[in-house]
Amino acid sequence: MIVFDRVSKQYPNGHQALADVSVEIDRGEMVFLTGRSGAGKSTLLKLIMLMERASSGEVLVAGQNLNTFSRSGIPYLRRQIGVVFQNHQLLLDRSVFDNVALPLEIAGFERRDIERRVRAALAKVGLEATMKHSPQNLSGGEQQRVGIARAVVNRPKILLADEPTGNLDPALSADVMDIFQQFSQVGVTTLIASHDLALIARLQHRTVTLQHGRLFENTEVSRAGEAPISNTLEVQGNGLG
Amino acid sequence: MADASRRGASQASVGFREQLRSYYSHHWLTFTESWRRLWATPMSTLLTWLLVGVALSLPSGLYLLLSNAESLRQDWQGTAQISLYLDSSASIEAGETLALELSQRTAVQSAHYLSSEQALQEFEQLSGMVGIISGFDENPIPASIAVILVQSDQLPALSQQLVQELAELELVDEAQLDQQWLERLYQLMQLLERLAWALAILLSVAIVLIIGNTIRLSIENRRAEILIVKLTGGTNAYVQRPFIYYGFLFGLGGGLSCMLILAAVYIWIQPPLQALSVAYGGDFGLQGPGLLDAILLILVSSALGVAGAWVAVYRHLRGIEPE
Ligand SMILES: Nc1ncnc2c1ncn2[C@@H]1O[C@H](COP(=O)(O)OP(=O)(O)O)[C@@H](O)[C@H]1O
Ligand SMILES: [Mg+2]
Repeated sequence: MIVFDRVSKQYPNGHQALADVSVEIDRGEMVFLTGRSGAGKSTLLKLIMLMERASSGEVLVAGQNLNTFSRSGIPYLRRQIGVVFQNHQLLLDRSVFDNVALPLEIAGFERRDIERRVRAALAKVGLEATMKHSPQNLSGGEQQRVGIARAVVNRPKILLADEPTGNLDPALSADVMDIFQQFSQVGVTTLIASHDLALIARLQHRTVTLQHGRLFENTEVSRAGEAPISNTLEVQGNGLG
Repeated sequence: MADASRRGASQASVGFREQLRSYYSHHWLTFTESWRRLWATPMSTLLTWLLVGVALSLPSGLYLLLSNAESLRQDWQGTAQISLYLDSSASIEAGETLALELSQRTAVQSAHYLSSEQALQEFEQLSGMVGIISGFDENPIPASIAVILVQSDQLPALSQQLVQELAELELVDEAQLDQQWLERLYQLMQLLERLAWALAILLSVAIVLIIGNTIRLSIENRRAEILIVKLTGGTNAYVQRPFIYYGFLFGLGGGLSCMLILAAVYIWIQPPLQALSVAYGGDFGLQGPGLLDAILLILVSSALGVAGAWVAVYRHLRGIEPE
């Protein structure tokens, strides 16, 4: 579903944020992307959204090569991907309903369908009752769940999250991760950037670790709590980061 | 590749027919939403309308004045007068007889004889210089006949012909068609017309910039929203649509406020204008803008608003990309 083939990203200021990263994520997989702050996690997600373009190597999303994707095609790529951010990124001057409805309005759905899908998405994150509220009147955890509802309302094939629990306490974080797991179980390819290692360890999913922009570890976790099969790559020392 | 993926994406989620219907309904929604937002800040909206209206009222007011002057000029072009200056040897009787003869002609409405004494008296009265000319041995002002021609469409050609014919008469020293002032008026009007155009162009640029700046501010205010819309798959066309509508509404309101300003000025200058008209025994009145003028004005002003919106969108909205 998502393929990185020897991808490097150098920002215009010369900073090398990703170097020679190759990763493959299958349809319906749930993968954690970890690494210290500055390791390149956000950059990797941005490449999938075409918020940035790779300096070299190839990124494929749902079979589409992003290197040859035109500027005008970008919105249509983004409609296939749901994103959740650390700070919920909700519009405070609109109701919860209108926030969640936004991707559907953009994609040109009819009012009837919008109504139905928004209800369904809010029900999945357990917030149907807050539909008419302003996001300002919700707790941090609830706001983050509204953000998730907005990300999944258009039934994307891919769900990306950048530090979705960064501002939440452990109990709320667990709730949020639970919701992601449910989506991955119905076939949504889910990639979550997080440095909350404790939480990640408990959830037992494949974990991709970046260090100074390079792939450091790509760990498969087998089901019933078996020892993880670690696949640590050799790291060439570099002074970047 | 991008095109294929775009088509693929839109077909997968929504049917074409539905999408088209939704496209129009989104236009309508955006339009009403833009309207609602403008009214959320009534003071600044009204001020923008007023500003645009004032800027528009200068060239359009001048244009109105000119088109009135043009119709007056055309009316007056019809009332040509020929002055015949008589030879000093011509007696008063001969002059009066000639005037009578001339007034019999079909092309002539009236012909008045003015002896050189009468002309002198009139001059002294008008100039207030009594007795100055009596210092001359002889009265220097010639006797004259004022010939007023009958109104007709062929008057310009006809009057030229008549002037030449009358100049040949034995008693006549010189024949003059009194249209010079009309020509001067025409030249003045051409000057004013160019001035009106220059004003119109300058103020159009000003209006585009005013509206562009107002829209730049509202783009800045909605930056967060624009970023989220772009992140969730909003096209440039989708993101800029409300701002184009802002521009249109600013222009439309500006055009309407210009109409109100012109109407107010029109009403305000009516009384002195009527007094003037009466004093000149004329029946001229000022024509207000016609329906066609009004529609044209509002179209132009709306177009300027949309142009301002495009300027703002190109300079400020295209650059807002999520990072
Ligand atoms: N727009 C940018 N321009 C220049 N450098 C950047 C930009 N964005 C990120 N970086 C740098 O790239 C590196 C990776 O950043 P990022 O992908 O945000 O890491 P992470 O999300 O893992 O903390 C960091 O050192 C960061 O300073
Ligand atoms: Mg980050």
